[in-house]
Amino acid sequence: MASRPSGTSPLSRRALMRNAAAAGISIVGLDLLAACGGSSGSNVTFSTNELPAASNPAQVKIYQNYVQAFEQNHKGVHINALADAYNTQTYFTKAAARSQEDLVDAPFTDPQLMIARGTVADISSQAKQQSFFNSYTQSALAIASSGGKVFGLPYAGYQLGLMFNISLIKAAGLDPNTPPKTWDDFRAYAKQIASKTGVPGYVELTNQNTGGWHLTNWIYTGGGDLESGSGSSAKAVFSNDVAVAWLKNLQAMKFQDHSVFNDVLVGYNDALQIFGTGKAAMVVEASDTLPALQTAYQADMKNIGLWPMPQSPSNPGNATLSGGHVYVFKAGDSSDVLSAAVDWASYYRFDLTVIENSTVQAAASGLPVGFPTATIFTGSYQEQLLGISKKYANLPVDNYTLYANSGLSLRPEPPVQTQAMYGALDSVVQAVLGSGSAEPQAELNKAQQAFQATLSSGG
Amino acid sequence: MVTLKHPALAQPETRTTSWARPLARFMQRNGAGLLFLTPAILVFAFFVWYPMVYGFVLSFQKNAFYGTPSFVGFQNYLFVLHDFNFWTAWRNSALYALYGLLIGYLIPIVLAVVINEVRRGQGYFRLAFYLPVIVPPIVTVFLWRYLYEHDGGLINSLLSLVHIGPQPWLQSPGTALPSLVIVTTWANMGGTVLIYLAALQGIPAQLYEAAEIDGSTVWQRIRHITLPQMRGIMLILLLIQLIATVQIFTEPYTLTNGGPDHATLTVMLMIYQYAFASGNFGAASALGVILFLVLVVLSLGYFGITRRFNRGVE
Repeated sequence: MASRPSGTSPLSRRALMRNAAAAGISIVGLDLLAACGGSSGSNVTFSTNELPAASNPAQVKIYQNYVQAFEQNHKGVHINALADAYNTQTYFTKAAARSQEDLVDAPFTDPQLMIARGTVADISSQAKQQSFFNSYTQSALAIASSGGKVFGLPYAGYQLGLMFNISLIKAAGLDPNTPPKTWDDFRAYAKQIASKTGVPGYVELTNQNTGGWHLTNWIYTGGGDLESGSGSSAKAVFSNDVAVAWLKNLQAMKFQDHSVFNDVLVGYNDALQIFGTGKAAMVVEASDTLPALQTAYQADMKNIGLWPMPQSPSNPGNATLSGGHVYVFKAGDSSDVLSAAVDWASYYRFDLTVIENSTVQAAASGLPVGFPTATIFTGSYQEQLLGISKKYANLPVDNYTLYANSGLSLRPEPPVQTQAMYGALDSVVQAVLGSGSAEPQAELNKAQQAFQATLSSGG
Repeated sequence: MVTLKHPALAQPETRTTSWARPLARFMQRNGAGLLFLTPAILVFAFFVWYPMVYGFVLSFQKNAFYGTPSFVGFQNYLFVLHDFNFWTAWRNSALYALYGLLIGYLIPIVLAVVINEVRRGQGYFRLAFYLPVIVPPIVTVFLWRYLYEHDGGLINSLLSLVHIGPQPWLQSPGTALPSLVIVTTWANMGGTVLIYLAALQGIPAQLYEAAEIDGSTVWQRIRHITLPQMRGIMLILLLIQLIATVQIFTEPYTLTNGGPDHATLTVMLMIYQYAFASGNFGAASALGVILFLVLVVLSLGYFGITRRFNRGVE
């Protein structure tokens, strides 16, 4: 299971809560909900980085209401919430000065690096007391575990798929219920869309580590690997036939078919804007970007569908990259602070009544509810989560059936220096999309050599 | 009763008194000045000299700030020198400086000369060209990101009105670097224009009067009076610009992140990526020391020229 590169803004259940406007639905009984966890009984203050941005006052208000309710029922506990969205570069710099927040909402890419660098606390004893803990799948637990110890609480997961604009697909004479199964199908679809509608069939992400992130995903669909080994003996192996084959395919789509969006530098938010405003027909994304597409770009949810990732025709990996979010806790904090922070996480992210209450608010505010997510839980807890989602769903969930039921295996991201690897691969994707004569093999070799030096130096 | 000491019985001067008196004299003359300088010295010591020394030490260590640092000798320097991006970054920084000379160095001189010739409205033009300097850098970045957009950006839209096709600007390795230089020039030339204007207004008016009497044209006056008189300040600003462009960071980081395909990767951006993307503070410091040495050479040139210029003025 894995996550987006740092610095991007995936929205999952957090988006449901964050984006819900105060639409006349008062948050009743929050104090009752907050009492579920019980008071820790000691005076502690902890900081967290998950306060919504000030540019969305409705979200801030909702979040603060939850904080207030929690504090009222946990006497002596004070939460200092900061609007400081996670960024790999700033996190490790702050951690070097021991000034990172006590509770950090981070992507799946970084907990293993945090564990290796000793910046996160062992919360095994606190975590195992939580009612939902035993509902984790093994792969989810592995995200933030090491040596039998638990260092984090994953709370949201997603998988990458092929998001498409239904009206453009239909205008090109294609069937929204017939997804491209292979790279060749995908290339043909993009070409047909571009020639029939004049709109680029596909937009590829290339900048701010997203190029490497997507290239990793495409390599997975071809059964390829990017790293072997682990820790200080890890080796970069992404300069392989699968990567070359995909990059040649992408390059041909751009320079022969003219079916790829023209810009070479496309970041995460750029791609959302391009797709959300109908300037490209397909983009690789996860379902939890749907709220952002609606709120930021007023995209019509009925006009967006999701297909499973096309696979390599010659060596299908039957896989897709998956992502998610995880709470981690600051190393060196006292057990009182850790207990209070874990209690808050348990209340805010995992309490079913809180989740349902938030979902009700989001649905009442017209926000997208009911999009499929990657499973990180199992058993009755997972069933109850699904039940809440289905009960209040206001999305055309039929548009995502093929994506949700793809049967593709969910591959986690390479574990060692993931963000640095993505950064190295960005230039490969940019080179291939910037010039029809760029040699994918040569570009991959350069990037692999540079990244291997990073791995070998243990940086 | 006066007691005289026989010279033979006089006590020899002690070591403590041999330096105490000059020190006392020095403190008497300079004590107040030193007192005023103390806060500045402390600030420089904490925020400039200590980080410089620490950075130099860090360049010989493997230190991720977690656990104990270890001494690794010149390993970080070898790592940096063997990184093929190292030569790319220096090439890009040199190209940035070159484009900066072609675009960003000449334009302020021309503007200053033209403004100086204008009889009315000089104040308006000074303000107009200085305004970009006071625009916050992040606003500048967002503005130019919009201007440079391939589809729908203002520049390409204007070009389409005169039937010129859309230009790639930041999207192509060939045009990304000059595009960044245009942004930097636009944002910073106002201050340089003001400096040149001040220099122009220091040129004796009699020289121009004599030239006019002799029947010289405007271009001849610029060529034979203005430019020679400004030679010193132009050389000084040339060096300052070189020093500044070698350290360029904001525009490549915010607009292109070193892309496309490392076309705008500069030395400062590479230091940033070593430190904060890879967590390799040793390599970042090693590259920082190398950059420092290059800047020392440029700065020595700057001091040499200013000394010659000041002697010429005297």
